[in-house]
Amino acid sequence: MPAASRLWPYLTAVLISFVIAMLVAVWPLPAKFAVFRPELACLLVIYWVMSSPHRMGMRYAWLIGLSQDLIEGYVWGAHAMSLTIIAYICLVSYQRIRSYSIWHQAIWVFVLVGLHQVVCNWVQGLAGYTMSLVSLLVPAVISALLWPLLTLILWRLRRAYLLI
Amino acid sequence: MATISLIVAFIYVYSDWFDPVKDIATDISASFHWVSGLPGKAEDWADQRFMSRARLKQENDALRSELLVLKRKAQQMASLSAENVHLRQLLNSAHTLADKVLIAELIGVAPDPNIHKVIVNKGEFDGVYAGQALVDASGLMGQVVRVGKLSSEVLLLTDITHALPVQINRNGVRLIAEGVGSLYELVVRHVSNTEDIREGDLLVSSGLGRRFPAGYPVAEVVEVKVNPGKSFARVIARPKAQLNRSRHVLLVFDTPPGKE
Repeated sequence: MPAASRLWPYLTAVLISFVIAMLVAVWPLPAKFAVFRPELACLLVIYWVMSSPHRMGMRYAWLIGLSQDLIEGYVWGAHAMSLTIIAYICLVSYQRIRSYSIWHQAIWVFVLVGLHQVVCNWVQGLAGYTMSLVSLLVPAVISALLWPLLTLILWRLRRAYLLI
Repeated sequence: MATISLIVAFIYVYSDWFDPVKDIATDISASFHWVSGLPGKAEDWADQRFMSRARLKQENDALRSELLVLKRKAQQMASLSAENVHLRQLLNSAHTLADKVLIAELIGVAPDPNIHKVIVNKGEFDGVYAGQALVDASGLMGQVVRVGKLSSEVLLLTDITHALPVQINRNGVRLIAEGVGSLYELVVRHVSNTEDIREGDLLVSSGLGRRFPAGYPVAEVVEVKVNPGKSFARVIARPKAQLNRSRHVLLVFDTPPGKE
């Protein structure tokens, strides 16, 4: 276990990253390009859980998902449920995934974000909204392509500020 | 945790237990929308500051001529509304003209393209109430569904969960126009094959259902397909309001439901 004194910088970094993710989630985009919006919050949950499974867990993922639902105006519980499931999958598989090459990881991220979209879509379906196949798949592809960049940036940050 | 989320989702969809919290959520969400709108605002500001004199003059001229045209219309309007009031008195019916309005600004749009909701910068403090109608310069846009302290959430006409009572302006036939999730389409339901409805007909809000004030333009019929094999004709209308363009909108103060 790392020293407890490292907890606050870590939490601050996590918090800031998720505030940015929420801003990206509501950033105004023309309706045509809205499908290209990456699911940054989902990517960050995957990243933080994989890099520090001793700190990040399903409870944090649930809270983050719920706040995303609040902010995006989704049915409450949609993101909360999908991010919890994502966090669970990451928790049981991080040892294996960490050893993959970066593009191999990106494919895995594609699957996870796709799952996230499907679960969100299903909960949204309770309220009568349906998503097209394109709006399920395109964000997953974009997020997977963003994965190498995101890991690079966050890895650098974690090195620089000793966020463990 | 997943079970809790499911329970939350079901409560959200099927009960009104969360309603007070939802209003607070509107404000939280609005603050994020506001921040994400800042770069756009800065651009507008810079645009206004660094405008060339020639462009300003040109814009000024254009506005002046537009004002002239609108003033002429307003003159007509004055006499027409006087005539309208007179006729209504003859018919012994209640007054409907002259609603109070509040100018609001759009600060956010729901990020999911399937959800047609917008957030405006007026809330409870400005007297906004749930069910209030939102219009822009050219027609009805939607209704307020959540009221926060300083902002409120508006469901647009074209959302898949929205429907409103309308009538054809030409002959007064009452119909229901439903959103289908496209910003450019409303589907008019249950129009019998023999109904007198044509392409180009203007649909106005009928005021039935006591949500929307009567007489605001809603949509224009663009397609009428009669299929004798089916019991109803397929009618598609295009919303009059510029749902994806308008930035400045008006909240109409009709009598709030339940207070009459």
